[in-house]
Amino acid sequence: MKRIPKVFRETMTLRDLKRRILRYMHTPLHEEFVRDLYQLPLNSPIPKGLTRRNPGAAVTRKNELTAADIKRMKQLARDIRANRGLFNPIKLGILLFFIVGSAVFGLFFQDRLIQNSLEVALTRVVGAPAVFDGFRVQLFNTGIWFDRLQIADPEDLSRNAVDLHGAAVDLDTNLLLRRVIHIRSFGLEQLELGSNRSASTERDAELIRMLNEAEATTAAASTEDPLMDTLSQWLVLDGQELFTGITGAASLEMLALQELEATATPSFVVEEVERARIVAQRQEQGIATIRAEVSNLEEDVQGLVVDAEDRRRALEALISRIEAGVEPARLPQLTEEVREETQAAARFLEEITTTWTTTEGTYRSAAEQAQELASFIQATGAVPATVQQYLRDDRALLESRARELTAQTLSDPIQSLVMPVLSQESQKYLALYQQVRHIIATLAAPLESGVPRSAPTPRGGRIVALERQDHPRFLLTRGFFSYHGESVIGGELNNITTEPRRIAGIPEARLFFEQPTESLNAHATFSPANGGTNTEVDLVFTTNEATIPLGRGIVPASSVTGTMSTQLSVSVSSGGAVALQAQLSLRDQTFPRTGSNAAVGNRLMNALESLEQIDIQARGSAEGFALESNIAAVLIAEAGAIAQEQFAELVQFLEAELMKQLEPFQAELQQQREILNAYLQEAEEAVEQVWTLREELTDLENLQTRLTRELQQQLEEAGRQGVRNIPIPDIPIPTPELPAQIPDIPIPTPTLPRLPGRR
Amino acid sequence: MFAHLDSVVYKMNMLQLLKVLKAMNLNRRPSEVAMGMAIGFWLMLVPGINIPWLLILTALFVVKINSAAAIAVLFLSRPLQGFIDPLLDHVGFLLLTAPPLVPFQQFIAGVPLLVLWQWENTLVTGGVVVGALLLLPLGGTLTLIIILYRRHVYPVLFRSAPVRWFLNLPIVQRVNNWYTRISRVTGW
Repeated sequence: MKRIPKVFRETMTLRDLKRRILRYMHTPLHEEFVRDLYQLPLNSPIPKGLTRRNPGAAVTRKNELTAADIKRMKQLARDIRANRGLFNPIKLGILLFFIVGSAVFGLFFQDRLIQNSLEVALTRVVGAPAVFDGFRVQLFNTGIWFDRLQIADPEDLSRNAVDLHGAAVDLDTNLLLRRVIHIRSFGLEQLELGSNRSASTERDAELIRMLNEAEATTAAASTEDPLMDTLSQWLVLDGQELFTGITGAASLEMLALQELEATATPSFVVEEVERARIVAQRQEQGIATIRAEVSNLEEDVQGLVVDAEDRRRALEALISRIEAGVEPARLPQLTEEVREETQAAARFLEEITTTWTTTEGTYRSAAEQAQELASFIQATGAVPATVQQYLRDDRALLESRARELTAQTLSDPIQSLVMPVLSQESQKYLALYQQVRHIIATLAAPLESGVPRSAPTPRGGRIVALERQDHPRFLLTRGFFSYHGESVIGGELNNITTEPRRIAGIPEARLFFEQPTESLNAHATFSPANGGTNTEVDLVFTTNEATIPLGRGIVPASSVTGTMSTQLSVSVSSGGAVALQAQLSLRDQTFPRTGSNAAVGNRLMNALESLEQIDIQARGSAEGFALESNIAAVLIAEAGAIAQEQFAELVQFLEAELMKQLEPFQAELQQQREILNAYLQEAEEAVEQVWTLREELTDLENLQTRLTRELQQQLEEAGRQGVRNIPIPDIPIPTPELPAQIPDIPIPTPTLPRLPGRR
Repeated sequence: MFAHLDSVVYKMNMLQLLKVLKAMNLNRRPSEVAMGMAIGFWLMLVPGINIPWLLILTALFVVKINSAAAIAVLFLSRPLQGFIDPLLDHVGFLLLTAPPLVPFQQFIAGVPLLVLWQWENTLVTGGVVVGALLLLPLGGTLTLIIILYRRHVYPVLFRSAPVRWFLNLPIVQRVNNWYTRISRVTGW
C-alpha cells in the first residue's frame, strides 16, 4: 500500500483542514479534490472565526483511495510545502553561502587577485612585464601597499626600467565604489633605475605572452621617437664651421675699437686752427688797413694844421696891409686877394670836414675790428667745449656701432662654443635619456590614456550628479617618491587623471634624478586645451674640471678652463613639435695667459673671469636657432669702458693739441689787439687834434669875418675919402655842419677766457 | 560578469512562456505568478546591471516568486523600453533635480555602497521609482486576473474534451513527467 502524505491526516478539525491544506489550494479543481477527500460538500463554506479552542467539527478522510488519489495527494503535499512561506530556504541558503563564501574568498585571495589585475594592466600600459612583491590591499578605508614593483625594460628584459620599493597608496574609498580611482597620495621609499631584475621568470613569461597576444590583435604603435631623432640630429651638428666665425668676430671687435679710436680724428683740430689762422690773418689785414688810415689821417691833420697856419698868416698879413692903408690903385688887387683868401678858407673848411668824416669812419672800423677780434678770441676759448660735444656725438655713434658689431659677431662664436661641447657630451645625454625614457614614457602614459566616461547603463540616460560627485574615473591627486642614496631620485605626479577637463588642476609628472656629475629633470604637463602632453626634459652634466679650446677668438687665449656644466632641455609640445635648449655654464673660469696679450685683450679676459659663471644658451626649434649669452653683455660693457677711457684720453689729447696749436695765434692776436688798441688811441688823439683844429678854425673863421668886415669898412671909408667905390663881392663862407661832439663809441676790452684744463 | 548574466537572462527562450502558462494552472499562489510578472516588468524598467537591478533579481531568487513569469515578462516587454524610457527619464530627472530632494541626494552621495546604485542616472532612478510604484497595483491586478482565470476559465478548459485528450496523450504525459523531474532538480 502506498504511503499517504502526513499532511492528509485521517481525521482533523475544520480549522486544521483549512489552515494546513485548503489555504494552500489555489485552484478550484484541487480544492474540490480535497473537499471530496474529506467528504465536504463543495458548496458548504467553512465557517470563519475558527480558533484553537473552537476548531470546528472534525472531518474524516475517505477510506477508499485509489492509486491515482494517492499520487495526487503526494503532488498536493508537495504543492503545500511549496506554497508555504515567503522565502525559499534552499535558495536563501545558497545566497548566504555565496555571500559568505565571497567574503571569505576575498579575505584570503583578494590580494592575489588585485595584484594579478594590476600586473596585467601595468604590463599593458608600460609594454613590459610589471611584477609586484608583497602586495597588500585594504578594501575599506582603501589602501594599497607593496614591498616592491619591478617594471622591466622593454628593450632589455633582464633589467628593470623602474624598481619601486616600499610603496603606500591611499585611495578614496567612496569614489572608488563610484568607479572613480582617486589616489589621495602615493608614497614611495625607494626608486631604482636600471636595476637587475629578480622577478619570477614564470610570471614574466606569462605577462610577455599576454603582451604578445595583445600586440597581435592591435596595430603596432609607431616606434619612432621624434624626441630622440631630433636630439641626435641636433647634437651631431658640425661645430667646426661655427668656430671659424669666432676669428672674424674677434677681428671685427678689434676693428670696432680701432675705428672708435681712428674716427675721432685730429683733423677737427686742424680745421679749428685753420679757422683761427684765417681769422688772425683777416685781423692782421684789418689792423694794417686801420694803421694806414690812421697814418693818412695823421698826415691830413698835419697838412691841415699847416694850411690853417698859412691861412692865418695870410689873413693877418692881409689885415695888416688893409690897416696900414689901401691905395686906390691897389684896391682891385686887394679885393681880389680877399676873394681868394675867402675861397681858400672855404675850401679849407670843406677839407677839414672831409677829414673829420674819414677820421670818424676809421675810428668805427677800428672799433668793429676790435670787437670781431674779441669775439674770435672768446670763441677760441670755447673751442674745447665744442670739441667735447663733437666727440660726444661721435662717441655715441661709435659705441652704438661697436655694440652692433659685437652683438653680430658674438653670435657665431657663441655657437661655436656651445656646439662642440654638446657634440662631445651628446653620448652622455643619450645614455642618460635612454636610461630614463621609459620612466618618462610611463609617467606620461596615464596622461594620455584618458578613456571617455562610458554611459553607466546600456540604455544611456542622463547623469544628474551633484557637483561634488562629478569626478573623473581616475584621479591621482598627488604621488611622490624620493630616494637619497648614491643618487638622489625624486618624482611627483599631480592631478593625473583620465579626464583632465573634469579637474581644476593641470596633470603633470615630474621626475628628478641627480648624481654627482649628472642630473635629469623631466616634467610633463597635460594640456586640457588641446588634449596633448607637453614634455620637458632637462639633462644636466657637470664636469669638475674642463678645458675648452677656443682657437683664435674674442679673447687672446687658446682655451678656457673651469667647472663646466652642460644642460639640455628638451620640450615636446602636444603637437609633436620639439624645442631644444642647450645651456653651457662654466664656473671658476680662467683664461690662461699666453704672455703676449695686448692690454685690451687682457682686460676682456679679466672681465670674463670676473663673471660668476659664463652662461651660453642655445635654443633650437622648427622656427629657427637662437643663441644668448652673458658673454656679449660683459664684452660690450668692457668694450664700452675701454672706449670711454679712450674717449677721455682722446679728448685730453685733442684739447692739448688744440691749445698747443692755438697758443701762437692767441698770442699773436693778443699782440695785434694791443697794437690795434694803440692805434685806436692814436686815432683818438688825432680826433682830439682835429677837434682842436676845429676850434682854431672857428677862431679863424671869426677872425676872417671880422677882418672881412673891417676890410669892408675900410674900403667904404676909403671910398668916401675919394677912392673909387669898388664893390666888394659877397663871398659866402660855408659853415660846416660838424657834429656837436665826437660820438662815444665804446671800445671793448675782451678778456681771453680760461682754456679748459686737462681732466 | 554582469554582462554575461544579463545576456543569459535575456536569452531565455520561449520555454519560460510555457512555464508561465503551466504556473498559471498549477496549484501555486496566484500572487506568486502575478508578482513574478510585476517584478519582471520592474526589471525591464530598470536599465543595466546595478544594485537595484541585482536586488530585484536577488529577491526573485530567494522569495517564492515565479521566476519564469518574471523572465518571460522581462523578455516579452523589452520592446516597450523605447516607449517607456522617455517617461522614465523625465520622472528620474524630476526626482533628481527636485530641490527638496537635494539634501537627501547629498546624504546618499556620501554612502559608499549607494554609489553602485547608479541613482544619479535618470533612467535608473525613474525605473526604480516607477517600477516600485507599479509593483503592488500591477501585482494585485494580475493576481486578481489569475484568480478569476483559475476560478472561471481553468476548470472549463481542463474539463474540455480537447484539452483532456491532449493531456492524456502518451507523449505529453512523458514529456510532462520528465519536465517535472528536471524542474524538481533545477528548481525552475
